Amino acid sequence: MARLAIIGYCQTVALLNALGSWREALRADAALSGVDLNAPTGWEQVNTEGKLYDLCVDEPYSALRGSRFSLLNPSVPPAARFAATRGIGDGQIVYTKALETFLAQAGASDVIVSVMNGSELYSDLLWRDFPDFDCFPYDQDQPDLPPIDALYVAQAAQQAASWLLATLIVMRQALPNHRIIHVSPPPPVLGISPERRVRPSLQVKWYRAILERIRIDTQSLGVELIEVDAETMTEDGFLKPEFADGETRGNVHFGRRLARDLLSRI
Amino acid sequence: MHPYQSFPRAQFWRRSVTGQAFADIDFDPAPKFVFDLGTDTFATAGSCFAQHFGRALVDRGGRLLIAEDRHPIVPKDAGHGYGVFSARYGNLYTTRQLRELVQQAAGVTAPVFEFVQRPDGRWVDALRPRAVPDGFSSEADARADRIFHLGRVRALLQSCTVFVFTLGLTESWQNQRDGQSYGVCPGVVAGTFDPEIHAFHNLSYVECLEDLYTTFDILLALNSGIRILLTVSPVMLVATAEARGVVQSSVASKSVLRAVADHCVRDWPNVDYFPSYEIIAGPQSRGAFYDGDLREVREDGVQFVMNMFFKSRIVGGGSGAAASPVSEAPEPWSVEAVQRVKTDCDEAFLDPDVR
Repeated sequence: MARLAIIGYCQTVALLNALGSWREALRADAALSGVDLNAPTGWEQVNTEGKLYDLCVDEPYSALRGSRFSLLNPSVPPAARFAATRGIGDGQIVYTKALETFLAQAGASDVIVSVMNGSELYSDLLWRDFPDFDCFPYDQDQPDLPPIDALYVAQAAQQAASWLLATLIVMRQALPNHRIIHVSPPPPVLGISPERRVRPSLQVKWYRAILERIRIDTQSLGVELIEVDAETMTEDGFLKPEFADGETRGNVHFGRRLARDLLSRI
Repeated sequence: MHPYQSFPRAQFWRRSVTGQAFADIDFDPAPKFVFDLGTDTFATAGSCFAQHFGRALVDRGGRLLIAEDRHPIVPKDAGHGYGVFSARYGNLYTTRQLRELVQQAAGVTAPVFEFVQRPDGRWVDALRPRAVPDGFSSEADARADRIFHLGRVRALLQSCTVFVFTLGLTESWQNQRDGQSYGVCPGVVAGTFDPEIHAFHNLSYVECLEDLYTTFDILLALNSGIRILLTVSPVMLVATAEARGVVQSSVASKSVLRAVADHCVRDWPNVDYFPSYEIIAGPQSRGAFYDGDLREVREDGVQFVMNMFFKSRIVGGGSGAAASPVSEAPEPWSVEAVQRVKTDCDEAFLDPDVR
């Protein structure tokens, strides 16, 4: 038996869907907001700020009874794009009331599970209006694209992942003796909208650069990392369509793989 | 009546030099061609002095083409090497370096991939070891950059209307096994000197001439309208590998290069020479344009050369849009590029005392 305290937002849904029924826990708050929870993304309209809900787990995951979850909702002001932290600089991390509230209550749990900062870590880089480029491992058919050295790619990845690092630092400092497990974001989905204008192979390279950064940061903080199950990915490193929900999220099948890996660690 | 009676005053030393105010001397009275500031696009390459030339050209409104530019992902303050020359080829001191680069860029010969690791673990391209100060994370990064670089050099040569090449040295180091030449002796900046592989070679007059003729053939095949302006760097040698004094080697090297340039101008309608070497190093200047080390050229010397260049070579003005696959250097020249000017000479590393 292990009681989890799960925190995250959009990417958390895949895991929660796999573990059991969680939307019911939001029912009261949804009613207050006049939100239809049956809509696929209806929960995003619910004010979940700073709340820790009981998770009703299904039978295969009965070992996780007593677990709770907190959804940081980026659509609810004043939560920022990176919902747990608002500012980083000069050694100071300014974080949200929601994270503070979560951490104050999470101490009663056995394991903290972070599903913080998912695909936006790399998608934020992808969606920028950069001139096209290439980086290691280089595509053989793109000799005319400027090659960006791995040093600069790693620096950009570090900058992009700094928000996640900040969140994990806050968690580690608040709960120094707790096990903290971070869940890797899913890779980009093959066939992502053409208007993104980013070559598919570059999308995967960005993802891998971010992932490498996450590996370094989690290791330095003593945070365990659950990496994406290789079976959910194509040979080229994309999320297989049968595990995808939209362009950047995993679906319930993806969530089940996560739940299985999570359970194996508890 | 004899021919000398009808020659213009610039052809007589006494009338054009002796007793003349320095600024009034006409150093370049008979240019083969002049340039239009509004329409001509320049590419520069060569020794350290070419950096001065490119910078001063931009500062005065000239259109210097930049074939390799910093991508937004690369931090501005990184040692990326952009903006020193039109492309990141580093110093091309010798005619052999130029020929080999142009041959590879044009696809006449296969690209040469020779990468070495610095003590800090970073990889560098042995053929341009300081062109990218940050170096590369891996051999694969260095290789990709060289492939891209050669493509951009090709685009540059196809796009520019004027290619300015400053001849710097005849002394070179070559790979005896594979044949390629180096901008600086292996082991000085990076890599390991291996006497079984690396050999000193002082290019002869004939070799320099052949190098340039081969280069011009390729340049014209790439860009039939290109005009080539040769200059000889007035910067003296840091060190010589010949068993003789550095002063003697400097004069020998510059003399060979100057003579080669003269030969080229006579043989090639699209090639001309601008006498920056004579302006700085000639007796009329009394060495006044040399820095305290009597080797480097002072900033006022560079400016004087550019004054003369604009006086005799530049017509027109304006800044028409360039229909070119390469971009133009920002105006004014970026501060970071100016600061690098004095330090981006590979040759300086030959003397351990002046590093």
